[in-house]
Amino acid sequence: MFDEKGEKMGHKTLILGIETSCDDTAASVVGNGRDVLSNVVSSQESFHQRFGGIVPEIASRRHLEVINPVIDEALAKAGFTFAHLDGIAVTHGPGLVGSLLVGVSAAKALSFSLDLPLVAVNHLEGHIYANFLTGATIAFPLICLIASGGHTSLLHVKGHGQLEVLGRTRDDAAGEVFDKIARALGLGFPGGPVIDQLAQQGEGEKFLFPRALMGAEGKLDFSFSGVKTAVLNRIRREKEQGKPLPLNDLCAAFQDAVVDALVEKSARAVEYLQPRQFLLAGGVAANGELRRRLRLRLAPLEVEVIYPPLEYCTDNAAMIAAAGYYYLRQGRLAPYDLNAEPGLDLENP
Amino acid sequence: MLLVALDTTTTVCSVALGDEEKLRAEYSLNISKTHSQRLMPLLVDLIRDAGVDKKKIEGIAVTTGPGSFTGIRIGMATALGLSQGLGVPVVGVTTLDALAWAGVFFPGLVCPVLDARKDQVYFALYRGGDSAPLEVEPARAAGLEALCEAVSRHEEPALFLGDGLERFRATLRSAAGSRYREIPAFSRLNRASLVLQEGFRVWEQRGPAPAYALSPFYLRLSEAERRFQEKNR
Ligand SMILES: [Zn+2]
Repeated sequence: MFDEKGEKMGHKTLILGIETSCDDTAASVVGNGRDVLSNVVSSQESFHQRFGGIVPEIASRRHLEVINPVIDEALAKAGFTFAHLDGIAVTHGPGLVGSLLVGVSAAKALSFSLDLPLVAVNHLEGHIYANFLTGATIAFPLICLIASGGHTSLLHVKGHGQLEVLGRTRDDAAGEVFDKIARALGLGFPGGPVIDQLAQQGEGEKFLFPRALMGAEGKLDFSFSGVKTAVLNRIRREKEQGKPLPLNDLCAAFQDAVVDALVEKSARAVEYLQPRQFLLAGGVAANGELRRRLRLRLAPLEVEVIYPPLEYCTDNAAMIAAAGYYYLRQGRLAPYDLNAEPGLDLENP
Repeated sequence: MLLVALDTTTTVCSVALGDEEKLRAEYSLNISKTHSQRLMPLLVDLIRDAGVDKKKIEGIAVTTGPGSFTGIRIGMATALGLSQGLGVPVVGVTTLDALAWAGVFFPGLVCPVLDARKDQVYFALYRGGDSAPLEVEPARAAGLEALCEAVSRHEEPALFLGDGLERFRATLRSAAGSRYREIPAFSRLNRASLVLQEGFRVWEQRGPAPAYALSPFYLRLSEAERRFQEKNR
């Protein structure tokens, strides 16, 4: 259990994090919410490739096969045993229900067997806490942009567990359109890293795609279905002409449009609330162009831009353990009737 | 040897605790609430009410299927988590092998039938009348015709049980004709005490599964794999 006195004496509060919300089985041991002692991720990518996307039933089956060895590996790499732990943190939503259930069931059984407190972490909140693993000192209140394959939201974070959603996507998530465009271009799955790479050799000015909800209307909400349709139409027309696709230029122009919207809305939120820190979180936070442009745009606004190292941008259990540490300090323990919450939101944690 | 048994493969959520000589406690729910919410609280109550120190538990028995895919995983992930946390082995038993114990005294065919949806059933055939059920037809996921056909290969009276009866009673009755028998409603559902019984038998015969090497017994491919195989045939 969390022990402030022990912590001051140099004892680290050790949390085992478990994350199975989508297609990665992950476990991690984190000390005091910031020192990553191990971070094990078992990727299922190769299992889903032949189906062209994640198959929920196959993801659930795979989680069950690997979860216990992944947990053992996380402990071994950290150099600890169950006896050293102070708590267990598990993702209980949002995500694929069958996938979540494997992690939640395993975590509850471990918590009971080992008499360890259990905390249930919102996966999206977990992404925010990836920034606590950077070594930077995080100070509330701050603004955070979460952009991933399932979510795109701008948040005002006032404290641990105190979130206000400033804007969210009205249709597709940013990561989702990257995946859809990559598929239309025959670039495989996931689409983000490939598009980011090809775009570096392309000229974005060759095509102009719409920027979503740039006007006052919609305020800080996002919409990516317009740019998605425009790019898909352009790909179709280019293909009809029978010439080779200008892959690099298409990728650059598409990425520019998405990044523009993300950066512009972020800047507006910063101008409006004037926080001292701005955090980037979620899989799309790995995008090089987004990081570069955010820095550039936010620099004059005197706000510190923080983003996690690449390995903590994508789904991982270290961020869940980090969030779990603060939940535990606040005494937010989960009961044994904890269920998976596939539709869990950010404002009702 | 003190074992805990879990079963969440059908609509029943059931836990039991006992040794070779004695069933110490059993709790079952047959309500339409998620097993995920019910299983751990039931288990915590079971162990507390039986007055047992959880460190005295020497092994876990769990049904590995067939049944609801999600139910299989809730039970197995819980069993494996307990095994990992308590440092004790797990033994897996099939839902049908466990259910067959409910008809162990019947001198004839014992036919556990589970509703597998999509107009299919999970079934296996056993012969009762001895000290343990003896498997005569292995477990399958198939249409009702296959079950009727399997039953007609044998000549003894056939005792049906399991949640498949609710939907398929009429067909089974007409297929088995005068040989048709069924267990009364209150005795034909899955219960963890049956899992415990089968668990002890498997433990004795084959030993528990090596760490984490417990395989789910889905008996069916996922939809995506089935379609993929059909397309690439
Ligand atoms: Zn995520």
